[in-house]
Amino acid sequence: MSISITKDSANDEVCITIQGRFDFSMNSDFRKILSDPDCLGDKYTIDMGAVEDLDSSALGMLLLLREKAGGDNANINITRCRPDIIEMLKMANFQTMFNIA
Amino acid sequence: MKILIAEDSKLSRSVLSSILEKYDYTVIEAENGEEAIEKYIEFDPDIVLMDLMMPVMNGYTATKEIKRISGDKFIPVIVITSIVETSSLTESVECGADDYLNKPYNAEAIHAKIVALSRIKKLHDSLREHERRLEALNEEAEADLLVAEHIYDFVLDKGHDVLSSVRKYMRPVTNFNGDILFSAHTPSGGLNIMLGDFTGHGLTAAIGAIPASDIFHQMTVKGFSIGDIAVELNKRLKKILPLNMFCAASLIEIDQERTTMSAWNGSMPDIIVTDSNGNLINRIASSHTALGIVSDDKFDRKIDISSLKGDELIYMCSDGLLDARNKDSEKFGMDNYLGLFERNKSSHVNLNNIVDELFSFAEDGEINDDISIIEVNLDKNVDTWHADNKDLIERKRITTGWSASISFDAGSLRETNPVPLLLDMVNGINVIHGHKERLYTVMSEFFTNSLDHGLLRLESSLKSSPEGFMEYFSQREKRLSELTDASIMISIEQKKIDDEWVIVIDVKDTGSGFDVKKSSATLEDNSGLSGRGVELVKRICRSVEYNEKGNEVRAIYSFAKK
Repeated sequence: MSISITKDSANDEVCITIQGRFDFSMNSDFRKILSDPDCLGDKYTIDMGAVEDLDSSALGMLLLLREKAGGDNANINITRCRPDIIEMLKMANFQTMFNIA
Repeated sequence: MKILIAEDSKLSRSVLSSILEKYDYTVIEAENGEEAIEKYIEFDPDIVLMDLMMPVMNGYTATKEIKRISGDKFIPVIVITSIVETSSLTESVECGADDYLNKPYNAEAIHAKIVALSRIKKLHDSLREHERRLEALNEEAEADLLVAEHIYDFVLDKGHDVLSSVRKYMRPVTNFNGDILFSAHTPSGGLNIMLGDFTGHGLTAAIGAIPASDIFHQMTVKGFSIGDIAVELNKRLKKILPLNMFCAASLIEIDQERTTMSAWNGSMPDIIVTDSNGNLINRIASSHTALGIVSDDKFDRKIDISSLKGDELIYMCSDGLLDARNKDSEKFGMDNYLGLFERNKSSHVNLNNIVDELFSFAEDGEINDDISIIEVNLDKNVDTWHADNKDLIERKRITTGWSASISFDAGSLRETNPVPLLLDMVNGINVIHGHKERLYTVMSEFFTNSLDHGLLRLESSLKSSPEGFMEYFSQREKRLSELTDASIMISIEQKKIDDEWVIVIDVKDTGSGFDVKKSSATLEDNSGLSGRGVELVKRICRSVEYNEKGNEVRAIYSFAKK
């Protein structure tokens, strides 16, 4: 279970990699990232290739990130999701708010 | 710092005292164990130096007693021995002593011991303080939770009508549930049901449940449609809930005759409809964001309306069911859930089977989310639904007739979809709540038939496969761009027929007509990709009539039928 973050300063692009169960146990780490000005960028990629499961608090964290990244103008790609994770994001209709692949 | 010395030899005592006073400690002296206890109680020292062999009461007993009195407060006791005698040391440690000092006294050694022990004491004290604070917070949180639970139960009880059509299984993870179930009859005798799942289990659910319950019940009683209710719930929850909290919800509305079901599914598992034999006949998957996330202007109220025979069973569940895990950590999942309805073809699937299946699956596994499963039995023998007179009163408020007729030529058909405009117009004039989605379904069905089949001559049979579906739309686009000399006329009139106010909808196109019988597949095979068709409209309206040629249709929509 972990979150790591890398930033490409040249393109102002932030990549957040999440591993394991994306649930409430990541809440404080995720909030720490959100409140760190160094972790802000123009464009975000969330690599969910190693996410095994997510719950509604994970959806809540994604919403917080979206707001931080500019709300309706946010540019957030959620990448490398497993098919069942895509299913869950689609059930929540998140494809209307994030670019999911 | 105060130090208590228990020592029967006067000389020894004064030597020790003078050493300690040199280091600025306050010294309290006792001549024996009994006096040491009295002085301990009286002066509350920080550290005790205890001789073992004393008259009246020895050091072992006094140490034991002081440790008993001090309870969970840490008072270091240092025993003073003249010779290193292992047995007396062991005994004194068993009585609670923390360290020992050898005679003769060495000032440096005494001071070092006191400093080290007072450091441990400090650590112990701060730990104890934290523990105490945590305990107090815990108690406070528990008390708050009890209040929230009480409020929550009160809201849910108030909201829960006793309806024999609706059976529920609700299993909270913590002592109160993040899932909510509301059900109530509409003024016209229909039934509205909402199953909601708040993020988290505690306070969010309690905060959100109160306005959600009020909105659901008040709007249902006034006859608003579930589309209206969803809009209002979203608006309110968006306002009161923190950004990362929301309420996934399914809302369904069944009309009094049980001929149609309207459904809005926002982030909940599929709503499942089975026939009376338990065969799966329809699924309404989530197509919306949960309540409380998007702003009012972005909210999608689109309702899925489907036909019913009137003896179906409807199942709704929260995602806790799908997320339950077995001992191999596999999820119950949608496939297992749907499988229940396919496997049990011979025996009638019901709420109890589903719960049994869940528990046999999750045995030795884990269930860490609230689980709710709802079964709505539409069989009229189970429960009868009646309109109340509020609906009649509401309908009597219509006192004026009006009519409008609009025609769209090929150019405007390419540019706009007039149905939403017409709907706004009707809604602007009428004040009866709860008919928006139904009128929309009627008008858009007729309009689509006229345009796609009447004017563009598209075959709806194309839509039976996914590839054909794509083909259908590419042909549609092509033919629409080539369309000339064509028009669709829509007339809407509100008038009184047989002492009842109705809306008469006429749609006429300049095409060569279409075969209504061929187009309107029967209800049974109407669950595919093709539109729900005229058959659904017939169930919504009092009457639907096509002319011989098939290019003119008249529907009479009765406000009373809902």
